[in-house]
Amino acid sequence: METVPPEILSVICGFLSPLDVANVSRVCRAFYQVAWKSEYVWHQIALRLELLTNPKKGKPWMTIVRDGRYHFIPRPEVNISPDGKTVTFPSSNSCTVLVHPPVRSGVWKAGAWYGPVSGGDRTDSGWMAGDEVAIELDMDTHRARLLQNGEQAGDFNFPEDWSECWFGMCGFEEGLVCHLRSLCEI
Amino acid sequence: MATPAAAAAAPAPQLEGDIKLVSEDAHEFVTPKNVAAQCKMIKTMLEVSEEQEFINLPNVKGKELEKVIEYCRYHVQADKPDSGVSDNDKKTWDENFVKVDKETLFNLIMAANYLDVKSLLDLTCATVANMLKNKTPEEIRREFNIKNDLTPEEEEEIKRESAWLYQ
Repeated sequence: METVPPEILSVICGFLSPLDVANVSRVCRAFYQVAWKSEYVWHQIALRLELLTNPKKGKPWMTIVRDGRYHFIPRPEVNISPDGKTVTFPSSNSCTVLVHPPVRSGVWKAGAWYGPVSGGDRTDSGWMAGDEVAIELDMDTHRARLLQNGEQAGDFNFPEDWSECWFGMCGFEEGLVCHLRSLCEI
Repeated sequence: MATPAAAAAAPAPQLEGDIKLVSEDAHEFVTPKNVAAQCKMIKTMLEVSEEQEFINLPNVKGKELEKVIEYCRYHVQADKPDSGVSDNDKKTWDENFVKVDKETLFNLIMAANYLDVKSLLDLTCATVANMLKNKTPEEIRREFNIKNDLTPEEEEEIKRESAWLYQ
């Protein structure tokens, strides 16, 4: 294996999962460079995970893979799309679907889009079906901001002893669709 | 003056007849030109000079060149739309083709890279990747006889950077 040039090792690592890339990177210094530090490797992984529909915005490919792995946790009461990014609430029973994994540090923004449902599009709180909702969490100051279509719609503090936060989507209308657009560190 | 459209419409050279491929260790393989041309590097050489009778390949040993030709010969036939060979059959054939010892596999990777056969490069690299999957760093070191030259500080840094994967 030591005779294989670095660019070929990167091609090999491009076939691995992110976790396998991490394990390979911990083998030796050369592997760390050709696996973990290779934009090519992370680009290949992003291609396989079909994460290219999101605009790149100059972010490193590893960041795009890291942020693109968030998905709704399946539960029996709801329908989740195969890629884990879209949830459909099939009944009017209140139900919360969490996004995995939880957030433990840094400032994070989750963006989601609620699809239209038949009838009763306006909720009591002034939200419309079809609105884009985003939540910014600052795990250092323990403050959160709520955004409606990009505009601040509220803010709140959360307890300082919370070491992790779970994003979740709560649905209580039959046919309501929620699409997780992004969850990224900002 | 040739326009880009005219250039694009120029007929591809006919790859008829045979070409002799000569490996680094002087093994000679008389190969149909359309098979040899699956290697982009050879195709380019054939396009430059159609009349040449042999091509020296100083970076490929006979053992691997024979395997590359076997791969190209199979796929020239199997990839034809009317070949009747299913994708499953091709997949099985490819899987059997790369059931070789590690040294041969790595030499095949080098040969596929040098001769520019992308599908073979992908196949062989994916095979090595499969050997790395679901293994700990220590298991990989043992499998490929690799020495750990990371300092404890570097190991700690990698652990920190990759912590998001172990959540």
